[in-house]
Amino acid sequence: MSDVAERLLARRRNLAFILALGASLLILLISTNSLAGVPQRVGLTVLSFFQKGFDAVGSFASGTLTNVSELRDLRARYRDLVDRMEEYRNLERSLTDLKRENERLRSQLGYLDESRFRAASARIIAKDPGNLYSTFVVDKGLADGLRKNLPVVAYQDGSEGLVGKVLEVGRSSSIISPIFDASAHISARLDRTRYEGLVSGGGSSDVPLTLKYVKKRAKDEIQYGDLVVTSGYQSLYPRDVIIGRVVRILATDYQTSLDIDVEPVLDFERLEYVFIVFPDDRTED
Amino acid sequence: MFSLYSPTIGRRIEVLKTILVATATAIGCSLLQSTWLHSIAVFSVIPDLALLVVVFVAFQNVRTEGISVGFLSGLVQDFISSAPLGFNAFVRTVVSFGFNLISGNFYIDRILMPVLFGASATLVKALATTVIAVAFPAFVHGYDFLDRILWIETAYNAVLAPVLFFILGLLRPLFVTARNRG
Repeated sequence: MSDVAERLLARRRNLAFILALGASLLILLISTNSLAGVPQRVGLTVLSFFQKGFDAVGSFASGTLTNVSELRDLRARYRDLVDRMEEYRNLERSLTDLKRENERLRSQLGYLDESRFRAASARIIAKDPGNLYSTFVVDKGLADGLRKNLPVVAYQDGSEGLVGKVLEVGRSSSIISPIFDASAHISARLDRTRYEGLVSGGGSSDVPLTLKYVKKRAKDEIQYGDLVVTSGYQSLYPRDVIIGRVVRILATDYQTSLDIDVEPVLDFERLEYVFIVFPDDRTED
Repeated sequence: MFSLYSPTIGRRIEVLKTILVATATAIGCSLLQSTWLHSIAVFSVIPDLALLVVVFVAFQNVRTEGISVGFLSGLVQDFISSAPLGFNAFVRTVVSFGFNLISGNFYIDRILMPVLFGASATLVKALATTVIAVAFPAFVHGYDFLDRILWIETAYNAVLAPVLFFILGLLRPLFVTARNRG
C-alpha cells in the first residue's frame, strides 16, 4: 500500500473513532441525564465572566460619578450646617442676653408697679467725659415730661435707693447728678433712731458719703449698718428713700456733731436703669 | 486783581480745614470718653484723649490753630458735661496756649516727649481748673492735688500720649497746616 493510501486510511480511522466516541458519550449523557442544565451553566459561567467585567467597569464609572456628586452635595450641606450652627449659636447668645434683660426689666417693672411714686424709667447712656464731675446721661428728657431738680431713684438687688437729681434737661436726654457728687447735699435722717443730718457726696463712687450735723448725743444709739434715709423736709427728695448704711462714726472733741460715713445702698458701677420721680403725683396711701 | 484762588485765601481755607478736622476729632474723643472709655477706667478715672489731641495740634501748629481747637472742643464738651458752660473751653484754651508757646522749640520723638507732654498737659489742666475753682467756688470744684484721681489721670494720659501722637502723626496733613509742616 502506498503512503498516500496509508495516510488516507489513518485519517478515516481517526475520524471514525472521534465520531463514535462522541456519539457514545452523547448517548451516555442523554441516557443518564447528566447534561441537563450543563449548557446553561457553561453558557452562564462563560457569559457571566464577561458580564462581571462589564458590570465592574460600569459600576466603577457610575460609582465615581456618584461619589463626585455626593461629595459636592455633602460639602454644600456641611457648609450650610456650619452656617446654621453659627446662626443658632448667635441666636442662643441673643436669647441668653434677652433672658437676662427680661429678668432685669421684670424686676424694674415690678418695682414700678409697687412703687409709691409715679416715675419714668430711663436708661443710662453716657457718663461725664471728665474726671472732675460724676454725672451721667439718661435717655429721657423734656419730651418725656422731665424737668430740672426731679429726684432720681433706682431699684437694685431688691432695694430701692436714692440715685440723685436731674441737673439738666434736653429734649430727649437729661444729665443726672448722683448723690456721691461733691456738690450733692441731701437732707437725711437715721431710719431707726430718727436723728437728722445732711448727707454730702465725696466726689467719687469709691468714696463714702458723709452724714454731718447729727447730734453728738446720738453716738451711743447709732449702730454700724443703720439705714440712712431721706428726711423729706424742705427737700426736693421724697421722704424715706434709702440713701445708704452707716459704716463709720467719727466723733471729735472739738466738734458738737458727729461725722458719719455712709456707704450708698446702690452700686453705681452696676447701675443701668433709673427712675425719675414725679413727686407731685404720689400714689401713696 | 482779586482772585478766589489767591494764596492768602488758600491758606485761610487750609487753616479753617485744619481747625474743623482737629475740633471734630477732639469732640469724637470726648464722646468716646463719655461712653466706651468708662469700661477701661482705673479707679473710675478715664484718660483725657481730647486734651491730648488739643496738645498735639497746638504744638505742631505755630499759629492760633491750637488755641481755636482748644476753645471750640472745650465748649462742645461743656454741653455734654455738668461743668458750667465755658469751663472746659477755658481750661483747654490755657493748655493749648501753653503748648503753642513752646511750639517749634523741641524735637518731639516717638515716646519720651509725648509722655512728658501728656503728663504736663494734665497738670496744667489741673492748675487751670484750680484757678477757676478759686474764682467761682460755688459752681466749680477743682482737682485735689493730694487725691489719687489727678495722678492716675496724669499717668494714664502720659501712657496714651505716644500712641495717640503716633496715630495723629500718620494723619499729619489733616492736623498741621502746610506752612507748619516744613
